[in-house]
Amino acid sequence: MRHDIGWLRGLALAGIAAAGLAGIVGSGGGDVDAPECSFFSNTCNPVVGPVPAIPAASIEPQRATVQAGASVAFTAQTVGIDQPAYQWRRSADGGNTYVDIPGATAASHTLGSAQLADDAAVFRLDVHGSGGASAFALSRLAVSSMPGIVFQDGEFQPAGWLVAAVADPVQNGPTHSEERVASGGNPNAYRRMVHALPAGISSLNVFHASQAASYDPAALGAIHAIDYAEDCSRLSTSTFTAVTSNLLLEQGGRRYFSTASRSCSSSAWSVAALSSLAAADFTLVDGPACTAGESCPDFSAGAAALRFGFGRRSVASASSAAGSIEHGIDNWQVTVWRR
Amino acid sequence: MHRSMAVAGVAHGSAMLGAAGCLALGVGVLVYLSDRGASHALLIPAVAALAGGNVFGALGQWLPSFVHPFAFGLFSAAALPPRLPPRYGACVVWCVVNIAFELGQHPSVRAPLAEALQSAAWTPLARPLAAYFLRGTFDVGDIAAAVLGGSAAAVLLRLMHGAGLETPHAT
Repeated sequence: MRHDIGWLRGLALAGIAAAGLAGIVGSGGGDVDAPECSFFSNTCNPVVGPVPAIPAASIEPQRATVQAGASVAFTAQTVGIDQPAYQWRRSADGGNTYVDIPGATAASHTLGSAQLADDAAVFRLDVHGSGGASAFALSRLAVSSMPGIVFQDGEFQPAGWLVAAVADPVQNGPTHSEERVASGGNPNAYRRMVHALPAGISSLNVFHASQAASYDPAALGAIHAIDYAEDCSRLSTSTFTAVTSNLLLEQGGRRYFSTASRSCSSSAWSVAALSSLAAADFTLVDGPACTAGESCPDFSAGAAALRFGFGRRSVASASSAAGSIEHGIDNWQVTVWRR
Repeated sequence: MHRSMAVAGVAHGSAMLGAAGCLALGVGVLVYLSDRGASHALLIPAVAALAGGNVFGALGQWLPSFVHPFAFGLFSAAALPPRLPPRYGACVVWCVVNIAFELGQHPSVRAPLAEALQSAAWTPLARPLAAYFLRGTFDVGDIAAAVLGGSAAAVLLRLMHGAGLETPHAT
């Protein structure tokens, strides 16, 4: 009998424990401050006024790569911290230990002339408020001894771009089209793309590789980091499906997308930027699988040549109706920083 | 025959404990509905007709802290075997849990605690928990009320046990 009901007791106790803990947290914790919002209302308590935000801090930029000798400015952004006091700190061992930067107690910190010794430095901002609130944020710096090699295109002549796609399903699946439009970009010419998706589950990866953006590490040296920027606009849509934009990298018959992507969801032109990307910041999306011990992609000196471009990805769910998304790109730019 | 009577006694006792816990919890909810306007609580809907009643006066300030370990101590006891040691243990656990949550609201620890929670991977749970510590009010009176609540539950269990309202399992 005891064994029979043992699991029932356990289940009941687990439920009671969950309800009890939810009751404590759900009580709001006292009679002075209100929680952000009640689960039963979309509005917060108007009597107690604005609810204070949870303390948080961030640094702009979160990652940066500069040439030795250039200056770099870090700017703090905080929320929920009254009368913030700042202290900038620096780590030379990847963030294990930090040392206060003398006099760096303002909301921004500028490194007047970055040196090679600053490469891989991690900058930490500690913020303390008058009410005991505190937060911290990190930013990583990469320093190159050479100027960055810049590939860019704002004209998008069709002959300058190679297009390939992976559609799922293959039969009666998504389709795509591309063209150069002479006006309406940011400014002037831009590349207009259309993804047409059938009803139901489907996905489409379109790879746009620049003919001119080729980098040979054997000739030019190992890659330290890559910066990427583009202007994106979702021109029109007849589905709820989103389109995302990634930096494309082709090497040795494989295609990689930057792991971080940007949703192209605004009808106005907006900048999408990724900074200080390393090889680990890319994901294989097309081509043979990488073998154990293989660098995918390989940024080292002597590695196979790389070609850059951009990718556009659309994914539709089971409830998606058939439709199309029209989107554009302008001011495409890749900066390769060498070691 | 004896076995079925014993089981019925246990079920009856557990039902009494559950009912007592529900009654206490109802009083606690009423504090939020009347004296605190319910907008202070995440899980209690505001009822305009009850708001602003100030039914409990000064007692309402600490009553929820008393009621919570009392009610959940009884609920847990009802789910445990009808022996006093594990049931006392349940009262102690809920008392300690309530005190720990109250201590988390202390001005000297709430900010770093909320920061640590915010940086934790389990963000969906961390955010309301961080908000609880950060926006709640630390009050020594709440700690005292939690101790009293847990103790009251233990006393009630002892009284019920002594009065034979709950018959142990037949073995």
